[in-house]
Amino acid sequence: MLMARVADGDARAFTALVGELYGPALRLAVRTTGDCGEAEDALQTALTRLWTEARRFDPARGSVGGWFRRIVVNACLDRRRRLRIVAPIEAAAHVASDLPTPYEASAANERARRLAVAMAALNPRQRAAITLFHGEGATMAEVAGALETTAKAVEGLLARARVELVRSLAGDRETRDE
Amino acid sequence: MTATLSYFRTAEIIAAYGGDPARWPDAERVMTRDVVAANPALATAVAEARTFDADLAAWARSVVPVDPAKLVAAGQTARPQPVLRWAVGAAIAVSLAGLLTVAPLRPDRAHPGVVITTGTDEATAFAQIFTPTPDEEQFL
Repeated sequence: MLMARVADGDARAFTALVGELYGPALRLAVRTTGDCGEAEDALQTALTRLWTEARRFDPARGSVGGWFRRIVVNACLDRRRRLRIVAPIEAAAHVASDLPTPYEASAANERARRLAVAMAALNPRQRAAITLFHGEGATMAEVAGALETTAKAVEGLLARARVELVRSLAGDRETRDE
Repeated sequence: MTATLSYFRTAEIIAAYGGDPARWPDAERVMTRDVVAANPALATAVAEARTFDADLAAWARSVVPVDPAKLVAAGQTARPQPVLRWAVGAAIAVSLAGLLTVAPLRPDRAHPGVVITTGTDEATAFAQIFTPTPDEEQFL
């Protein structure tokens, strides 16, 4: 309903829709990019697409939220591709995470802090898949839709991500124990 | 004959989907449970995966504060304002009109035959350019 009004150029409807989508989309963007500034830029791009491409939304193919998640993930991945990150992935484990979470401020939540650092070493597609599957409870098919791939490919993406995270956390533990 | 899953496929499901059977693929859920129940190593893997699921969910769901001012600004920036659109259109129209008015008055170095006298006001220049010569008048 709201989306139909947005497609007709209703600015008020768009403002209301942005109010609904902004928070969850920002969280998804921050988790995917690993950087607050980048996430806000990607989200801005996604919102512009939401407005300009509203007429392309087809309710028969899914919810507005699902459609917008796909736009957000694409915007995040596009930005990461343009930035051409060339630093070795191992370096990420030694770089403080930019994630705007209370993890780093909380000594009591050491495990979560280490997990956030390990997450920074994953690639953005893996982080997006984890955020959608574990954070938003999306099905494997929905994650596949957002990442424009197959459910089977997402299975592999998630499995590799978990293995890498476990390995990274175990390595971190060994380093601290030495 | 009852279909069964391989040990490898069961481990694959746990690795990808985690330790919560509710998240396992519908078509393979029952078989996965059966294989896990028969293999202590897989049961351990499920228990570990469940703990890790909780960590991943906590990471993914941790709140990212939303600045209300940024939310409003993001919505406004995403759609061009009607006034702004009008202003841009007007600016383009004014620029084009300016070009059309000024262009004929500018000396054209590529065509030295066209002479614009200095110190001529716009009205005179306009009259000079658009007043037909006697030769041109015979065509009118």
